[in-house]
Amino acid sequence: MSRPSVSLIVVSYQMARELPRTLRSLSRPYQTDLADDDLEIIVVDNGSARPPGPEDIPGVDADIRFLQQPNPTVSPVPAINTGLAAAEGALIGVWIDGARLASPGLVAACITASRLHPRPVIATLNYQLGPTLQFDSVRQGYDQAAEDRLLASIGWPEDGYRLFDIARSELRGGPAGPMLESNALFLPRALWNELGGYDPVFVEPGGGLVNSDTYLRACALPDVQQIRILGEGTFHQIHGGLSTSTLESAVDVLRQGSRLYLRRRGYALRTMRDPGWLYDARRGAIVPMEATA
Amino acid sequence: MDQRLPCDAETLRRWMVSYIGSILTLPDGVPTDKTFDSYGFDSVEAVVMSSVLEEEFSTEVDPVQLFEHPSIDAFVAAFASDGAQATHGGDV
Repeated sequence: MSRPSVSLIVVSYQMARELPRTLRSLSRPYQTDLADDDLEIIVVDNGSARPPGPEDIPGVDADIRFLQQPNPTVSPVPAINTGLAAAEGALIGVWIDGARLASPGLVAACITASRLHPRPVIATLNYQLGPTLQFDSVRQGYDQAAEDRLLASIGWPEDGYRLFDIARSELRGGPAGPMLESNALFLPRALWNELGGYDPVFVEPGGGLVNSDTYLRACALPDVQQIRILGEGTFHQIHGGLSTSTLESAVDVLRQGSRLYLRRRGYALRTMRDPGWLYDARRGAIVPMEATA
Repeated sequence: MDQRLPCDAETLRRWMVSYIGSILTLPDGVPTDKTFDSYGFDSVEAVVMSSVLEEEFSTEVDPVQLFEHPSIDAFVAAFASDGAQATHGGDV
């Protein structure tokens, strides 16, 4: 069997409800414009009471490996690095949060974008399902049952692009605005090696700001080109995550994480204000920043 | 946040101008009287700044106070040791 074009690493922890949907959204035929052997998916479970397996995704025909992280910790970093070590694709995308659905052309768009530059850092954009950002939605009664109804209302997964109709962007300044992380970050294998994967110093629950750190470090590698993907995205399902459940917990993760970041790195955390190239996946072209306003 | 920062108004104002100026490119400099969001300093960056303030001045800074006092001048007046406002902190 030939090596896949792309490996997706998906970290899970107690996501019996969310993970099957996520894996369906990452597999053909939901993911479009992929060849048979383009894609491998590696699920690394980080200590769930009942680790996921193929029986959880009946009808999903994909190359999915289920791994269990030995000695799981509260941080997903070791699990991510286990996935990175196991990945065989030339391009590797990391889902630090297995509760994120993808839009249908996301993987193909990242493959295409990876051919636009020899050292691409491909950042997909984050969305959250619900009427507003989830820390706010939950105050209005939004919960998993409401989210299930919301997904049913668009007939998901029939037309995955309708996810955009029931979600809100996490980027307050739009796709070219300041950005702190990408929850599906794609780098060529060589760049992941150069980066040394995710930094195991981030031992705190959820990894703290490790995803921001990884994105910012990747963008700071020499001669790289950040490419943001427009027209596709990842969509967070509510599951009690630290940074999406309540405003207080979201602020606290950022506040405590920023202090740790400053101590560890010796400089303050900064949002990425240079948007890099904006690749509009629906048009198959790099678009000027003004086109996103 | 139940106490003022252990620095005078001018020190705190200079620090905030320098910090924000290192993040944003503002041709006319950082306006101390305008609200943070009016010149593109967003809420995430404000929370991060509160953490850096904590480290810098070794005291607790509640990021909510940057939204309650959403300009450099307003924050300095409320939380510098010699700020103009009589009291603020324990009562907010």
